[in-house]
Amino acid sequence: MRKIGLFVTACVVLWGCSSLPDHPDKLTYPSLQYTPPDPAAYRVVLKNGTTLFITEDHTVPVVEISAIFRGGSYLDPADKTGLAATVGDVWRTGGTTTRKAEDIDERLDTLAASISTSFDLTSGSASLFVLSKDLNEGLDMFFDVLKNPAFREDKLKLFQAQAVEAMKGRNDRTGEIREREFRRLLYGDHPTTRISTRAGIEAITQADLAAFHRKWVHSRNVTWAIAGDFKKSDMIERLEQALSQWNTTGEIPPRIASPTHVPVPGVTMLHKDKATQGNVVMGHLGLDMHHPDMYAVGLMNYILGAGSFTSRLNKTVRSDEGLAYSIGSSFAPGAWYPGIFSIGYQSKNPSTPYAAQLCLKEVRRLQDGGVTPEELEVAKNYFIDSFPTRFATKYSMVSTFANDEIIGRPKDFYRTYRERIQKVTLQDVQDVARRHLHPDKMVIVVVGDLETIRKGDGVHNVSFDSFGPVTVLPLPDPFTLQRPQQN
Amino acid sequence: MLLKRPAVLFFIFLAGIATLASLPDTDPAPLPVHEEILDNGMKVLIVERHDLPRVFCVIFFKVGSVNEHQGMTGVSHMLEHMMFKGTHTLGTSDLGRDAYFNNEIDQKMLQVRAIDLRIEELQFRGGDGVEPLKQQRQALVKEADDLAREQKTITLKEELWTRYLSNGGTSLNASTGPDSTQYFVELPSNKMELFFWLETDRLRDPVFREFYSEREVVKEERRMRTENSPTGLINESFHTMFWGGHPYHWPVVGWMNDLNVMKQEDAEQYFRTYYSPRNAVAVIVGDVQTDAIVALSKKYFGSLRNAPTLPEPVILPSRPQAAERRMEAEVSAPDSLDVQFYTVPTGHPDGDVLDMMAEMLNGRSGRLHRRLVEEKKLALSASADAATSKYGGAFSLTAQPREGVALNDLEAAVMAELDILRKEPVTAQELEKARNKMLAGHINRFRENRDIAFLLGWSEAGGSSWKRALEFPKRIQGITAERIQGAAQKYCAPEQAYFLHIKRKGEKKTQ
Repeated sequence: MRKIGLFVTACVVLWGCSSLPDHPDKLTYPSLQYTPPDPAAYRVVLKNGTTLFITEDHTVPVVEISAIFRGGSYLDPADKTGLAATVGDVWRTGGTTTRKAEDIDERLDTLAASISTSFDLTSGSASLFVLSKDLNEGLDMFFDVLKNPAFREDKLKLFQAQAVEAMKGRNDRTGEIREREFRRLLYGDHPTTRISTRAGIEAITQADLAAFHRKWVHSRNVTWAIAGDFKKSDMIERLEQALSQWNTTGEIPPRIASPTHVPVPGVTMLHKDKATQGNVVMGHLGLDMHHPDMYAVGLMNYILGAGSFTSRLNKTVRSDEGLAYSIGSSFAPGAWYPGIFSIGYQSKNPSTPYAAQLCLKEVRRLQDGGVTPEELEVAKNYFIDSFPTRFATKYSMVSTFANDEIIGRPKDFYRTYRERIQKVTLQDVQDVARRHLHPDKMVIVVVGDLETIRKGDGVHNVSFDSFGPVTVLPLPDPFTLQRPQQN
Repeated sequence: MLLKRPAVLFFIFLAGIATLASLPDTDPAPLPVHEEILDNGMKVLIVERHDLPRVFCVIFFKVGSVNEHQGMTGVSHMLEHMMFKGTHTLGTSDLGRDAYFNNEIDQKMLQVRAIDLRIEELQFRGGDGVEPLKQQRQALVKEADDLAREQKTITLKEELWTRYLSNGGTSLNASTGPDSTQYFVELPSNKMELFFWLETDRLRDPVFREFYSEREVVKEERRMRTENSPTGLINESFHTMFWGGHPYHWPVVGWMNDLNVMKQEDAEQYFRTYYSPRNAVAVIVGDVQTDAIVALSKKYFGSLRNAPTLPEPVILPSRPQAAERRMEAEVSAPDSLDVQFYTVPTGHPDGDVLDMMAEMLNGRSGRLHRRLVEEKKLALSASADAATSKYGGAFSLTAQPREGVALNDLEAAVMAELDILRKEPVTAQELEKARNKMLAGHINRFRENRDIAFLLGWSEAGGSSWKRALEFPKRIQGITAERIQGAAQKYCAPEQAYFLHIKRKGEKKTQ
C-alpha cells in the first residue's frame, strides 16, 4: 500500500553540521536559587485555638478552603463498617437544619461553586471552592453545612443504594482484588483492612451520622488550609466570627493502633475468569515516616522501581524483556503505623512467574551489589531539582502544611530536605537495602487465569511454587467478604 | 518557503468580562501568549509565569490514529514509544555495531512476520500444517533474541529519561490520541536548553532500537487497558460501531493483530511523514524570559527540516443512518446504559451549544440527577458529555440503574429528557447556571502551568486555535435557549441514537 523509502532526506542532518553542542552533557546552566516556603509564615492560630494555614493568591479570582479533621473509618463500630464514608457523603448531600438540600445544590450550581465533604481511613475534610466575587454567600453556606448538617433520610438511602451497587463490583478488577488481599495479608485484622459489608452499610441510621458528626467535627479537632483571592485579615475575621459559636463538646479521636499481625511469607493465588494478564504484588511491611533511614530508603526505592523508566525493574522487566507495560515499586512511609514496601506489575498470564523471578533477582542484586555512583547521582538530582513541585500552587502549599501539622511532620523538614538527601552515601543505600528489603520473606499475591499462569511461558523453568508455599483462595462474596467453603 | 511571521500577541485573559453581570468584578490575571512561527513553519507558544522556578514544556504533533489505515492501526502510538529509544548520540556506545544489530534483528523479525502471516492464513482457513512453521518461527525468534542480548552490551538504556530526571524533570511522558501525539516534561527554569537539545536531537536522528521488545510492551498495554478490563472490549466494540467507517473507529492503541505484524519500517516511515516541524506546535509555560526562549527555539528547532511532501489528507466517510443501533452485553461490571449521538467537529459553532446542553443536564441540580436519580428514583447516577475532536464529535448520556430497575425503563426515561429538550426551551435560570459553571471551569484551566500548556496545545493540534480557546467566555455569551433546542432537534433524534446496555454477569465463584 505504501512505498517504503520515499522520504529519506528528513533525517540526514547530523549534529556535526551545526553549531550546536554535540552532547547534552556539554550544556552549562545558570544557577538556580530556591528557598522553600516556611510553614510558620503561613500559620495562624484563632482565638479558640484552631490552627490555620492561610495565604492570599490573586492568580485567578477563586477561593479554596479546606477544614481537615482527624478521625475516619478506623473509628467505625464493627457492626457498622462504612459509617465514616457514609457521613462523608451525606454530610454534603443531606442539606442543613435551615437550608433544603435541593436549595443548596441549586444555589451552588448557580454560583458555579462547590462544597465537598469526605472521610477516609484516617482523616476527613469539608471544602469550599468559590469565585471570589461570591465569597460571602459561599462562606455562609459552607459554615452552615460544616456546623449544621441535617443528614436527610432520603439522601442516606440513596448513598446506601450507591454503596451496595459499588460493592457488587468488588471482584470485577484484578487490581482491586490484589490490593485488598495484599493489605489483609500484611496488616491482618486491623481497621485499615476492615471492609464495609452490605449488612453494615444498611444498618447505618440518620442518628449514627449525626452522632459521628457531633463527636469528631468540631473546633478542637480541625486544621484549616485556605488560599485564594481575598484579603488575609478579612478572611481571618470571618473565621473568628463563624467559629466562635461552634460546639466544643466533641472528642479528640484516639490514635490509630499499630497492627500487631505478623505477616506469613508465601504465595496467595486467586482465580479470575477470562483475565488475560496476571496481576501480581509482592512485598512486606515497611517503615513509618519518622524513621531516620527514610531518606536513603527513598533513593534506594527510586533506583529499584520508582524512578519511572530509569529504574532497574523497568529496564529489566519492561524494556529488556517486554513482559509488562506497568511495573514499579513503592516504599510508602506510614504516617501512623508502618507503611508497605511492594513491587507490582501486570503481565500476560504465561509470563507472570518469570517476571516475578526477575523482580526478586533485582531486589537481591541491590542488596548484594548496591547501586552505582551514577544511579545515586541521578536519583539525588531528581529529588533535589524537582523539590519545588511540592508547592505548585498556593493552595497545594497550605494543604500540605495543614496535613503535615496533623501527622506531626518535623518543622524543619522542607528546610533540611535537600541537605539530607545530599548526605546519603552509596554505602547507606546498600545498607538500607539489606536492612529493609526482605526478598526471602515476601508476601506475594497473584490474581489472574491460574491455569495459564501455572503452565508458565514454556521457556523458563519457574513457577510460583519456587517463591514459597502456595495457597489458592476463592474470591470472597462481594457483600459479606466471606469466602465459599472449600473442601 | 514559509515566511517568517513573528507576532507578539498579548491577549487579555477573559476579554469582555466586565460586560457579564455574573462574572467577577475584578479583571482576572491576563494571559500574555507570545506566538512565534519559525522559518521551517514550527509554531512556538510562550507564556511567562514567575511564581515557581519551574517550566512546563510540551510539543504537539498533528498526527494520531486518525491518520492510520486498516492493517497498520496503532502505529502512531507505537511511534510515540519508539521516540524514547534513543538517537545517533544517545543510547549506544557503538553506533556502527548498533546499526548492524538493528538491521540483523529486523531481518530476522521480518522473516518471523512472514511466517506469522502464513500461520494466521492457515488457521483462518481451518487448515493444518502449522506445527513445522511454529518450529521455524521459534528458531528465528531465538536468533533474534540472541542478537538483542548481544546488542545490550553496547546499549545505554534510557539515556533521554536519565538526562531529564537527573536535571529535575518531572511529569516526563507522552501521549497519543486520535488527532495528536504530545511529548511533555516539566523542568527547573535554568535547564531550558536541555529541553531544546534533547527534543531537537530526537527529531533529527532518532534510532528505533529495541523495536520488537517494545512492541511486546505495547501489547501488554493493550491487554491491561482493553482485554483485561471488564468493560474494555465492550467499550471498544461500541466505539467501533458508533464511528462506523470513520477512521476514529479503530482504537488508538491499535488492533492486536496489527500490532502482531507491525514492522520497524512502519514506524520509521510514519515518523518521516508526520514529524516535520511544520506539523508541530511547542508550548512553553512557566518561569522563562520570552526572548531567551525565542532565541533557543530558532537555534534548535529552527534547524529541523521538513519532509519534502505533505501527508495525505484524512478522508471521511459519509454517514447515512437509517435507524437506531444498539448493543447489549453481559460482563463482570456494573449495570449501565449509554446513549450516544454523532455531532460536530471541534471549531463548529454548535460545539459550544452542545457543551452547554450537557452542562445543564449535569450536576446535582441538573436535569438528569433531579429527575432520574431524585424524583423517579430510577438511577443511582446519570450524566451527559459533549465531546468534540478534529474530525467529529459525540454527545453521550450515561446512567447507572438502581437495583431492580430494567435498563429499558431507564433508557425510556433518558430519552424522555431529550424529548423535552427538543420540545421546550430551557429556562433562563438553567442557562445562567450552565454559563457560570462553564466560565468557572474555564478559569480553573489557568491555575497551573501544565493546564495552560495543554489548553493552548490541544486547541492548536485538535482542530481549533489558541486564540479561539481564549475566546471561550465570549463565545458562550451568545448561546440562547432556542439554539439549545435547535441542537437537541438536530443531533439527538431517537432514530440517530446508538445504545449500549451493560448487564452484570454472574461470576463463577472459583475454578
